[in-house]
Amino acid sequence: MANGENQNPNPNPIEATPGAAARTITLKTADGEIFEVEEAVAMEFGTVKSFFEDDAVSATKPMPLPNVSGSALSRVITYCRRSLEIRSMIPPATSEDATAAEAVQGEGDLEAEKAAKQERKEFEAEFLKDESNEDVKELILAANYLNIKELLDFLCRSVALRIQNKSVEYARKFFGIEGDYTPEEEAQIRQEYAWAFEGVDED
Amino acid sequence: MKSITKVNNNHRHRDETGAEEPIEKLPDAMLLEILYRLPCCRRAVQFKSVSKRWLSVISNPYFICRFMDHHRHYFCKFTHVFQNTIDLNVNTYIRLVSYDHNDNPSFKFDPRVGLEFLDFLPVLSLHYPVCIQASFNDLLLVCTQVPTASFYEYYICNPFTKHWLKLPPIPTDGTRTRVMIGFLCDPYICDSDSDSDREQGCITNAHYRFMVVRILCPKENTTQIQTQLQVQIFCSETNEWCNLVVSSPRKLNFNPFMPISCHAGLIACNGMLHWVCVKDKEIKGFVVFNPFNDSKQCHNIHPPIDLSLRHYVSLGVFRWRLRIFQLISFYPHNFYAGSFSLWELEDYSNAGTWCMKRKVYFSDMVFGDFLESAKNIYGLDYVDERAKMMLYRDMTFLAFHPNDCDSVFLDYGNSVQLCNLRTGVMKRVYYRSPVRSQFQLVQPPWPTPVPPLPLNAPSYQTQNSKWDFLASRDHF
Repeated sequence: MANGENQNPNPNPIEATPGAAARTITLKTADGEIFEVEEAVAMEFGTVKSFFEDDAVSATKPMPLPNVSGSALSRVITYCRRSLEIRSMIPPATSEDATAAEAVQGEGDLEAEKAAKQERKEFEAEFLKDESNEDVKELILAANYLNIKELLDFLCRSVALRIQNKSVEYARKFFGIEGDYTPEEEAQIRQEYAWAFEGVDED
Repeated sequence: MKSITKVNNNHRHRDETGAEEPIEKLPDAMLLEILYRLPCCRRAVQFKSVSKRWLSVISNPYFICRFMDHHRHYFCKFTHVFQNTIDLNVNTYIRLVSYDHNDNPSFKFDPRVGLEFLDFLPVLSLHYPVCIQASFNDLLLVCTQVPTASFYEYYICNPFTKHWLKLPPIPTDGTRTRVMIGFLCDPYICDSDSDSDREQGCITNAHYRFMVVRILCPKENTTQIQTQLQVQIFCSETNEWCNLVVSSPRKLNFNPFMPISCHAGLIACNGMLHWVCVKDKEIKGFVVFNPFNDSKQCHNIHPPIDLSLRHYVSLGVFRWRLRIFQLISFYPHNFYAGSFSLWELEDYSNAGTWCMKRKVYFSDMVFGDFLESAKNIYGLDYVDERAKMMLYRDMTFLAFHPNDCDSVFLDYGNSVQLCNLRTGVMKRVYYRSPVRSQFQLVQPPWPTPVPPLPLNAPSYQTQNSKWDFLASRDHF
């Protein structure tokens, strides 16, 4: 992978051909950090993609990301890069020729898909292992601002998993929320939805 | 792979607001994205008590829509409700059977129990005659009658959330006219920007309109040809009952009380009622009654080409599709030529487009412990062919398995069997004594609210309105 030395001031960065030296896109975070990212990775960010599609902006100027911190962006980039790698493990489907050739390839594809799935599972488990709740929340905000659907889905799924077997009180602590019900109001809710509160949740 | 080049490696700034609780910055949209991924609706509902903001996010119909869409491939819990009567009865009691992922039944309640399942309905404590008359997803329609008064009272209830709604009373005519009851629910489709939502027609069960249809048995000979029916309909949009006369298309007989029609039953699907149309003991087609669109006139769809028109059929619903199940047995001539068949309605247009999904011949079936039932019932040491034939003749259709497109529940008097029409395997689920009526409750990923949530925007489309074109054409 080429590193940031390829500063090719191409006015249309999206025309990068695969196999050519990777162009990079420069991003500047809220806290002033500068990142040079391979174009393929940067195009995973919906926000970045549309920024460069809207007008033929020169790639030399760093794109400002006022809502993302350096630490968050660094982790986001790591995720997207790895995610791209895993996706490239699966050969692309050739829909134009649904011939015997595809049928022969089919089984190989299935194996590749399975392997990719396993890779993704391991990678995702590892990715969030040491992240604090605060970090995860920061990542969610970043993924949302940058419009990275896959990362957002992964992060939200993970948070849902973290709180799914926990109590209402835990959820408050996790999200740093003060309950704002009066005792009467809370009792009323628990009564109206008694069916949800009763018994052991075996699901 | 470390090719991120930090050209300006400043010391890392912490976000200025890092001291605050970060989650306060999490917009509602993000909270929604997290919460609809919770695996179970119970937890999500419990979280309504976290804060008022969470209450508003979780109660939002759009949230429910996304929740249901995300969970649409999850296994649905379902329960069979068996009732010992089809009429109002002071001694009504019910039995419940719930199923786990492996279709093992569990009698959650003591099988001898009365109506504790419904004891949240205040009327039950008064010991009036009562009867469950219909079901839809996780809702039940319960009828009762105040003994000294001359009107019926209907309740719509969700026995899982214990919410209920009482309809305005409807006067009886003093006589015990036989009726057939239809309970139609037509959910509103969520207005959404998401492409996948639009494809699915993201159905939220938070908003729906409903109707209760009472078809009165013709006073004269019940199996006479009828081209008009007396019907009483309650509509949630008008909140009142009305008496109507419904006509059949092209003066065809569409009496639902004829034996073949009665056997198949009245089935609600896609917000419309369906029943079998019979003439000279032969199936002529299926009546489609769409009162949301046209309450005066029915339509007709043709039977599948390969349906045997002289054998009984059963109607049922799988997911949102109408299905026919037919048992054909050639007792006593050729047992092995008998079969189970299954068709699904793909399209209402062109007088109905059917697709045969499964057909399995008795010769290909694997009976397993099904034959144990026969031994139990007939006390035979061996089960000969005659016993087999009788078994098939006396089998009735109970319901389509809500999670498995190939399986059906069959009722054989003393036992309930599960038959997989793809593998031909028949498995006994459990024994129990005969019942008079039965309902299958299927719990959607989010419980159906009772009453339905009020609509904010008048522009919602309903699922049923897809079929509005049926009214304008009479080419059936």
